[in-house]
Amino acid sequence: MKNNTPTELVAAFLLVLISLAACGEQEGVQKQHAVSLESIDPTGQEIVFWYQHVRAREEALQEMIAQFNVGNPHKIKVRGEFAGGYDDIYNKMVVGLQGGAIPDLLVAYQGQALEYYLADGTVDLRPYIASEKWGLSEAQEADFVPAFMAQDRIRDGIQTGLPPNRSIEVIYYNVDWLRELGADGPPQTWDEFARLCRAARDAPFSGNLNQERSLGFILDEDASRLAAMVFSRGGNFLNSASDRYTLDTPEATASLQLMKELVADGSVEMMGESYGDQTAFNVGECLFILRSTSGLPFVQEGVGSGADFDWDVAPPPHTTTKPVVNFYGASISVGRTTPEQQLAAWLFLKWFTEPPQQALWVRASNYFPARLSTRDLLEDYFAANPRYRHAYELLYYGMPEPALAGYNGVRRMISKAVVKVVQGGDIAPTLQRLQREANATLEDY
Amino acid sequence: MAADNKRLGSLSQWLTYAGLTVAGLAAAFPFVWMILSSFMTRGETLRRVFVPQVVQWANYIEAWKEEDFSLYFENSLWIALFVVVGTLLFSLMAAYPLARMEFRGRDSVFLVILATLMVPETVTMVPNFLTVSWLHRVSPIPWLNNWPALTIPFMVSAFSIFLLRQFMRGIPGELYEAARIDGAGHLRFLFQIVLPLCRAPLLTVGMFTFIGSWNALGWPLLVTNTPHWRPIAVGLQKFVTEAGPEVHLQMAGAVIATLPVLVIYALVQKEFTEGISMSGLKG
Repeated sequence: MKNNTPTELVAAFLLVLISLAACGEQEGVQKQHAVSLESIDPTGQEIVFWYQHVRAREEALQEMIAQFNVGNPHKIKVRGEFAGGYDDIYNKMVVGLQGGAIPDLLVAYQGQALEYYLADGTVDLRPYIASEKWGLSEAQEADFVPAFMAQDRIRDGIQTGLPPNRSIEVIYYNVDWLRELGADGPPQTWDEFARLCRAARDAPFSGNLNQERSLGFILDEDASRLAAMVFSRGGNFLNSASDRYTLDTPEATASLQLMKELVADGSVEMMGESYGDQTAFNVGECLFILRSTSGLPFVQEGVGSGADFDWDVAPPPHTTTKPVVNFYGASISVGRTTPEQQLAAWLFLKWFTEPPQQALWVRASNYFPARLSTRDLLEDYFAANPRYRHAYELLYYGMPEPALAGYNGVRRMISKAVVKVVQGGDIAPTLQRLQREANATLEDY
Repeated sequence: MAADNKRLGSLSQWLTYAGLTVAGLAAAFPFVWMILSSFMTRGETLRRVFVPQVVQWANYIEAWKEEDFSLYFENSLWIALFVVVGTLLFSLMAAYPLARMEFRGRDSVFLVILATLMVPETVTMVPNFLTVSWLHRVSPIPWLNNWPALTIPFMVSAFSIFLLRQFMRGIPGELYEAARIDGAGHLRFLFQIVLPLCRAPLLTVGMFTFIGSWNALGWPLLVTNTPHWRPIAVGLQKFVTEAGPEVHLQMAGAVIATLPVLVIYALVQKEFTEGISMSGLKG
């Protein structure tokens, strides 16, 4: 845990304490579950939803909330509140658990949602999903992308959240530059990727607005980037039981080895500033970047204001038979409040994840919908955004990052390990230590 | 020999000035970059040009209108005002007895106050939140989502007490003796004699407190859920989207947010420097 910031250390310590305290109250919790959902009346409840969205996404979300508030038959009123970024929401929730001030709905990554659930701050959504009166029909539940739902499911089928959307990690590539380099498409293997990176270093793009800098790739030390590389080589960050980290693997070693070599020969650089890879791509300095699909409109705008070249997205190079892409995204959890408020929160969540609302949300956020049938409502959007469609088709090759409590801290450990290796550290001892320390965090929960 | 010494002296002076100039430019560069970026188009910030081709005044209008920025600005002014006034009052009244009055346990009390400086803010966050939540429930004025939670916990500052105490210890005892002969008690001596003498350290405390309050982000996010009392730092945060910052708007917002601090610093610059040196903080 020594890689965490002081705030997170304190927050994690508090969560462990709260979790221990919550264990003693399980009986009471069971009793609350025992209250029949079917007999609860959510009419007139006012609920609070903490989210991280800003600007256009927040505006769209607020419009949808207003639509729900006006149209729902139970006169439930939802108040959407910007609560800061993901980490701010986490801190707010940890402190709120102590002070008894938790929201009815909140955005949380799977590891965070699990921590809240263990600390008795959120509820299991399974009874709500299964409720005859308020829940999802079999067809509706089957309409959720199974892998998305599975991300929020822990032992005994407990559902800690419901996915409203997801994104995947894809390679953004400069089509015009690839043509100049004699390639007829994005790299299919990591060897090909390395060759093209070196070629890009030696032959700058003709449209590069800064001819002094020419790179194949800019490496962001973010854990999701390494996860994407490891998954594409057939590896995983978890063991087969999904209860221990497996970070010291041949796939992780090969990924880091390649990056280390490419950084050493000058065809790849580490990212020096926030979104620096995206900026370099926009101006034609960098041939490839590995990023979330949620950034598609921003890259489109950036390239349009930058070097204005033809670009596209593709799955990361892979050694597996079929591509494997890293998918992720925060879900929405329901806070443990009163049975009436919880039900009201669930009803909003259910409404928000219905295909018509999903379609609206996709258009505003550029995320991928969590419901399969939303696709039917997005034909015009697919036609207008072919790159989005390319990326959407990769969803079926998706693989998630770990959904273990404390994964946020482990992500930071992974980032530090990547930096250490690329800066000249030995791979084997770094990964051994990373795996040891990552698994040690599991003992906190 | 004398000529050599003179030459060495002027060379050393020249090097000092050169070093200071470089340091000054390095310190000024982020501000210059911030101002220039605030006048660029988004494309120019992406292309990392240094000077905008056409000055985009509209960025300021957009930043001001977007995301409740004007409301956040006003909130920050009120919050900073409350905190500065409260801090000055309480620090003055706490520093005076620690500096001028003899009583049992005085040094121990001072040590305890100083010790609180060593406690990280992170550690006090939860107890502070619990206290504020309790006060929210029992007080006639709501604390959460309101000015009390944003201001009252910050009206006592160990650093400000320390700074004022150091200065007050330097005030000659004869002044108090003379005031006593004229019939003044401690309170009158404090407000009529000490207060005017403390102008420089008080302005220093005010300046530090204002900056701290103006830049606060973590605590305000914790105790507020609506824009009604949220400060400007929250507004700036909203210009960083999940898929990349809107640098031009963020920098326009940053310029707006920096202006009050710059104006206040320009007004109290002389006293600020004096306050630092007279209270013994400067080596």
